[in-house]
Amino acid sequence: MTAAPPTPPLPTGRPISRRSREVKNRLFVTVCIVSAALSVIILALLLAAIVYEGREYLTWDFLRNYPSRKPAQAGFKAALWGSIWVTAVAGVVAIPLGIATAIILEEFPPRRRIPRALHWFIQLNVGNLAGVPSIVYGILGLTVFVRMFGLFGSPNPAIYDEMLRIRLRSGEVIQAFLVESRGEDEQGNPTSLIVENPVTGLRELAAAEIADATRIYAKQHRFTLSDGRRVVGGRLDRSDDGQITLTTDAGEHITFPASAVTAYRTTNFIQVGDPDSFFYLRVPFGGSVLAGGLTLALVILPIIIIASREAIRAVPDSLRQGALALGATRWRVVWSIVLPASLPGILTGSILAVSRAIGEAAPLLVVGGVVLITFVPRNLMDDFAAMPLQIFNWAGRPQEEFRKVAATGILVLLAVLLAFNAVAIVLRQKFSRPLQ
Amino acid sequence: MLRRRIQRGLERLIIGLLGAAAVLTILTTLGIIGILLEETRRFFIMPEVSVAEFFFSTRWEPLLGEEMHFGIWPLVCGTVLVTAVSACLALPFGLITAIYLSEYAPARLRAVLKPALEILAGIPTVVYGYFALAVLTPALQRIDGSIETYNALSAGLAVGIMTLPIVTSLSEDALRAVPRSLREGAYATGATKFDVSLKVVLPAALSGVVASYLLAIARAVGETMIVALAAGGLARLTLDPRGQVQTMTGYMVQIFLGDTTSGGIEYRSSYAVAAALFVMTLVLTLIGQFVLARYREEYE
Repeated sequence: MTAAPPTPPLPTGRPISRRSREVKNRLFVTVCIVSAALSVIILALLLAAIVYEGREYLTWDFLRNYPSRKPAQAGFKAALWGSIWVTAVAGVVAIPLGIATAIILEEFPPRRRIPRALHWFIQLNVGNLAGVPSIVYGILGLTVFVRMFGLFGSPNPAIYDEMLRIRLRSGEVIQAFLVESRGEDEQGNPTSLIVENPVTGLRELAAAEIADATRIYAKQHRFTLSDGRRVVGGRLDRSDDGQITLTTDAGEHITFPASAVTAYRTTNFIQVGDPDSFFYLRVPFGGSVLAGGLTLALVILPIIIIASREAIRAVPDSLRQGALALGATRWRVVWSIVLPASLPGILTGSILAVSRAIGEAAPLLVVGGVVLITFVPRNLMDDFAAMPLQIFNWAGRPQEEFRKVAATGILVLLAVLLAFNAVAIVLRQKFSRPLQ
Repeated sequence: MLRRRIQRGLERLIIGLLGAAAVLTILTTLGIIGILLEETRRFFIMPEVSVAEFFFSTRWEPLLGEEMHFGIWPLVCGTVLVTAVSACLALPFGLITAIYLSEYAPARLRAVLKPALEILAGIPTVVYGYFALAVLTPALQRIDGSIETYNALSAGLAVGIMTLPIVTSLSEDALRAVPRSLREGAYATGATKFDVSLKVVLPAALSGVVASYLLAIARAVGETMIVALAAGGLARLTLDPRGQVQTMTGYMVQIFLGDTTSGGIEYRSSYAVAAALFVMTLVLTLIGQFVLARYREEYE
């Protein structure tokens, strides 16, 4: 026999008066307003602090200059253009993939058992991917895009030598090691570089001569010596007395004098095309625009999928049924009815996702590292800077002045984001008439 | 007839391509899991490392001197501390704001509050990191002089500000999904708005609120740029938010910023930390999704 459940104790004493409950209600409203005001106050405070700190360096020069050691000359040009390149890659890759996945999930629910299980799993998985920290995507990008699982050797300073690929204003291209930078102009940049090529030796280049310089990783050095020998190796060490020691990939050391070298070239990556042209490709991608963009694409893909699914779900079923009744195939219905009707929602979601990509720093930090970049990318294989990374770099420096430069960078970043969001809001307002 | 067949074939092809795009999301997950497992395995087979130390030692000193220690707890502790501070800010204030927006706020106020929250949600985290370092920390130092330049408190508060809009918008959705009839029934018994909101609507939407909490906590655990800027770089086992701590994400940033070689032990250790981080956030989001799915079934 089970015992009867105990009856709840009846409220004793006077019943709670209407008045005291009204007082409680009003008190709660006050708490609510204070709490709600908090977010507005924080936002105002944040914006005010950034405008106050950042106003000093907000000039057109800030958008025209490259980063510099002197705060007054520091600029955002490389970061701004780097962000544009990387985000464009991310958007171009992620938006079609996201919409395609959303269509499959919403419009083509499978009937058989195994595809149905897969369908369910993809749904669950998309939700989980949205919750994966972005720095973890950075690790994925580093392994898959930057290194390609090390299948082509790893761009690791222990195996690769870091060199500069310098293009001169005369059109000449030099591959050489940086030995020393000399002098300092008023922008804090060196006035000349001393570089060394194993064949041509030391050479001083005035800053005015240099059109641009890119960092390359040389994996293999091939020397032709004056006695006809060919020497191929992975790692290069140069001593002060002109001796070159090559360490081959097998670990063998070969030493010869630099004066004996008649020809020299390096191979970096498996590459197609001219590194100066737009159509230049290489594998692995290294810490390039393409690697960064693809990584960001993975970060925003779940966001686009979720937003697109919601937009597609909002299309009334009657539209689909009408089209099906007229004899349209299922794909025809999607292409001619569902997609046009859900396009505003999809676009809004995509724009918001892309603006998330503009502000993402952590995955790019893992993929590309924070490097001092003083050029605008020319192709997908160039190194890149990015706005949030540059801000991170400036904000983390101990000098007070660079904090201000960071705030100026934030102002530019927020302005770009605001422009994106304005477009999204306009789209939403313009197309948000409910479908009948 | 032939045209029709070609069309059929073409449509099959298109649907196949769409399916391939969907499968890519699975490949992403498998890629993450595979890479983390493999690199973590390589980390654990290194002679300096032992699995037991990783899970039971309380010292994380990968870069100091000859004797290295790899006990994950100081990093977990830093992460938990920052997340706890953020939760103290985001969870209560987020929920109260959500209740206000859903039950009380007049249209005029809503028109101000909603965009403000949307803007807060859209601000990049590196900006919050700057805010923590350049605004919150100096302000807190004026209140309490013992607060260090890098500290868990201001980093946690900034993370809380970042996660506040997540709690608010997801909780508000849940509260709004509660059917009107429930509210009207309560009003009919003479309840005040306060009674209706807290004793009827909130319990009915509880699963949605819990899901929003879990997702916000998951975001806080994985937040990187704020802690990298404001929390410091010293892995310590402490619950004092005034001093500097290092979180799991903060350690990863330190490694990837540095010049460590890709086969090195510090480098591999960051993968082990990433694996632990991934498991933590995965569990949180999985529970969140599960709770959310259940609540959706109730009111649709």
